[in-house]
Amino acid sequence: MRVISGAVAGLPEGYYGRVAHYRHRVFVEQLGWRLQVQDGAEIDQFDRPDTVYVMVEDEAGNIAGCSRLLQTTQPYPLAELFPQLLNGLPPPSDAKVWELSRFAAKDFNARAATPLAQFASSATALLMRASVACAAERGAQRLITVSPVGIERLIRRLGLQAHRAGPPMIIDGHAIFACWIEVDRSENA
Amino acid sequence: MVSADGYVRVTAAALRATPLAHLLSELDADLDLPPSTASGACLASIAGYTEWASQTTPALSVGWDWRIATSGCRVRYERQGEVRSNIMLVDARRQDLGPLATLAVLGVAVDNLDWERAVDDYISKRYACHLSNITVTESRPNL
Repeated sequence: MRVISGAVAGLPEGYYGRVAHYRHRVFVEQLGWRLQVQDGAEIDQFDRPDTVYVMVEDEAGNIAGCSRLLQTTQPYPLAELFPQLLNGLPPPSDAKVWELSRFAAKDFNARAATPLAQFASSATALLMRASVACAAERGAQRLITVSPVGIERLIRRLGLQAHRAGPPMIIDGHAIFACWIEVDRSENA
Repeated sequence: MVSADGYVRVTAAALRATPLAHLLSELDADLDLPPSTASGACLASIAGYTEWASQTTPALSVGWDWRIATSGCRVRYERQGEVRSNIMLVDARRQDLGPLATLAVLGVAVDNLDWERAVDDYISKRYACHLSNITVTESRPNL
């Protein structure tokens, strides 16, 4: 497996489109999230030139996972859409705080893999570590993520330093929450 | 109030005095439910997580994994692993006790909570059609 990361302009040709289609398969088709869709691709207002993408590709060149990183000094989903998940804390706006979103590691080519098994997959672990490292390279000291509750279990199992921001909430039928990840203390985990 | 690092800082005494209410519970998604005709099903394979929160502002939030363990025909819920929370315990001088000490106290607090009944009620209602298919017909060693 290999990791590819960068803003749209720095990605290999075609990768941005592949990620958008991969996100559509995971979040819209599998998880049933109601998201903006364009021609089978899941793209929203936070997919901008400054957005950083992290992808894991398997040996056959298939995307096996992706995530999205946004600096909190620019608009980001938690602040714009789900500030109530911060338990009363104002959404951060700090160059050292990045948001991690659209985290998914679903290998569509793996046979009989259940969702929980995916948690423990090497692609999932690689993607999470790569996302933390990618954010660190860009100056992040902390990550804040809006995710399904299960992500917290993954984060803890990987030994990353993290804690939730507040109670999960049911939004559009899905239990989601916000979680802080300490980049400095997680990089060597 | 919530600290800038996202923690809610409370003393152990304040934690003990704050009621926690059940928010939601879920079965793990890879639950391999037996077909309706199955017998001898192993309940130990049922696991999930539960979420609890205070009614305070800011809210205290705790969650943990659980599994259903069987011993003979006795079935009970067991907490699995550490408690996840937004809580940092502090001493009387408002100094952090640290994550490890906080985890230890939270574990005791959760284990003193009558959470099993609430989880069982919630899970039973939510997954009633599935759980009604499970039958225990034998005891299994080493579960």
